[in-house]
Amino acid sequence: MSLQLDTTEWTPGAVTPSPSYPALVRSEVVRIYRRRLLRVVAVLLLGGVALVLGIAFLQSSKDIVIPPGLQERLEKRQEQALERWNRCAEGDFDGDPGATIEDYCGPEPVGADAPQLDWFIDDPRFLAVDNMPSVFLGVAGVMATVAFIIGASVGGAEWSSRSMTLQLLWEPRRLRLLSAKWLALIAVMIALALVMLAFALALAALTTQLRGSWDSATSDFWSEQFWVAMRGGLLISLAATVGLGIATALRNTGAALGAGFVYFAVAEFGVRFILAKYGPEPYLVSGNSAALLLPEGLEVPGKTVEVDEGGRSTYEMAESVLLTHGRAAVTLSLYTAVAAAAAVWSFQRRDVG
Amino acid sequence: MAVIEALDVHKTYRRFRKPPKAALAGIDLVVEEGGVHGFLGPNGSGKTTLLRCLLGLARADSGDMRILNAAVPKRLPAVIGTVGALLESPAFFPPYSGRSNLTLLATSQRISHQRVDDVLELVGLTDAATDKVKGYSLGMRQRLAIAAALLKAPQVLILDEPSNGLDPAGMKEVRELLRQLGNTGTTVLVSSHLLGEVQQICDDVTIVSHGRLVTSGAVRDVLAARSTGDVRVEVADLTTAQRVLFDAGITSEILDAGLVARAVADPSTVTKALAEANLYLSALTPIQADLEQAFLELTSDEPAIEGDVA
Repeated sequence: MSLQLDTTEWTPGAVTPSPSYPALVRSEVVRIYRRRLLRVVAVLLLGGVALVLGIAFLQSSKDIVIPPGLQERLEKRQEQALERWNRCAEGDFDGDPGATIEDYCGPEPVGADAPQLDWFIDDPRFLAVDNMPSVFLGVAGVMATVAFIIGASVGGAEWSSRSMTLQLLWEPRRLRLLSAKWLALIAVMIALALVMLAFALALAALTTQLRGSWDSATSDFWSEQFWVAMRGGLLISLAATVGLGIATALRNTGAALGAGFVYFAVAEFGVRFILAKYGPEPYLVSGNSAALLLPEGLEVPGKTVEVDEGGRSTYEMAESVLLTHGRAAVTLSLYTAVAAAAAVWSFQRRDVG
Repeated sequence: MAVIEALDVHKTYRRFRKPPKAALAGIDLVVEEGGVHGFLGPNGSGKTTLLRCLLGLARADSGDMRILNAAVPKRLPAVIGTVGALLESPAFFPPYSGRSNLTLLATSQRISHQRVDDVLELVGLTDAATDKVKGYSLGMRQRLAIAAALLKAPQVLILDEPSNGLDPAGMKEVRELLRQLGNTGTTVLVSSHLLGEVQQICDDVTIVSHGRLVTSGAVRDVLAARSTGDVRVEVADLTTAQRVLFDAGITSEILDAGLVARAVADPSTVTKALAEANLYLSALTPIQADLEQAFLELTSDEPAIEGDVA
């Protein structure tokens, strides 16, 4: 080591640090991107996606094999169905003058309403309309979990390595530093999710092309998937925020992951069991997360109410509550805001070092 | 001009199920521009706490703090670009290389990567720049931390125990570096337990104990104030010389080191008395108080702060 200062070149203040928020966010993106955990998780996810869709590829086929004798059995079923319908249609409907034959017997089993061949065979084709939604939902669900873990890891590692102290010696505005970390985390998580989605869609598209069919995959279908992806992005962002928030408030990755585990493995079950009468389901994270992703939202049991059967007897029944996308988004955002507020409050107030 | 000012700063740590601990009890610190300023105090005296308050890492309960005339912590962001700091043990991301750690800091402030290489070279870490920090020795981490502190070419450099973990050669090199920085106009505030080190490189010193200022000033003035006036007398016949001095009203002792005359206001009185008795000196050396002695005397009788449980 020399430690010899070239005094002819050394001028105090000669280097002018030029702090800018985008530069701060960029350095945080690099910091997260270089994390080994992120790279390991990315490789595992890519491997998992390849494995699942590889199995789907191997199990799919474009050729529909009709087992011997199935055509004859189908024709017999069609005849039997028609006979049953005819017998039904000859019945007495006098008790209900406005009723039609279809009201009592259903549509006449002919043409498209007759038993079809595909009722009796498993279609081995990889159908886009059946499988693509699983790709979108799967990537969003898995990435939300990963985002929570990475968020907790990013938040906790700064404290365990004490590098937060060093960073604050460069950027003492704590809220600015924390928000840069948050933005960088969201950016990296969304980028990773897009890579995962693109990879999964590419493999699924290849499988569909070679071993399946694009039938019924209309523009409406793709529009629906697009919105699933958008809501998935929101869920991933919220999960990352909660992970970072808890780890920042507790200053520990393990504590944040433990809190997540305890919530999902213990607290939700406990609340469902103990507070069942009050219908806690619409307020739980797992139900709202599913509702946010699913195309139609999610119906969950609500409060238990007493149903009166015309004064003869009563029984208790849980109301059905529809968790719409909007309701789920608001509920999850509120919980996320609480975690973020706890993180900001503790980070702003606490002594560091 | 005062570059660093901390006046009447108080800080109390509130602890769960324990009495509060007063870390700073109205401490003062004034560091003038340029040169090297030592900051001394026993363990738990509040040195690091005050530095953390000055750098915005801890919140003082009360008091007035300024760096480069900017009120701290409110206006700290305006001057932090000209302040380099190293506090206690260096903190870096262990899985990243030394260069990566510095590059991340540089990127956030749009400092060139060439500058990163320059400071790595300055602290002798060029060869280990691409090695992961988790493989660094404590001394290498300390050098990396010094490099991080120098990355901004700071006008004010605040270092807390910069020699921690360094071998004797490394400590000497750090001393020389700090002295050189002080000579170039950088204001260096260095907290250290190594009193000899501080005495060698510092122009000024502040000594604190129990969260309060004990003394402050130029090192030579602090030492002079603690000077006893003792002089070492080198003469052939020690016993006769002691008697002559006694007759002249000067108390002396014969020690292993020779004859020591105590509390001599004017050394020429020793010379004159011995010469009149035909005893001729081969040397007359004033015995200087060293910083360690001054430090121990100044900090030994300080009362503990109310509520201080340390």
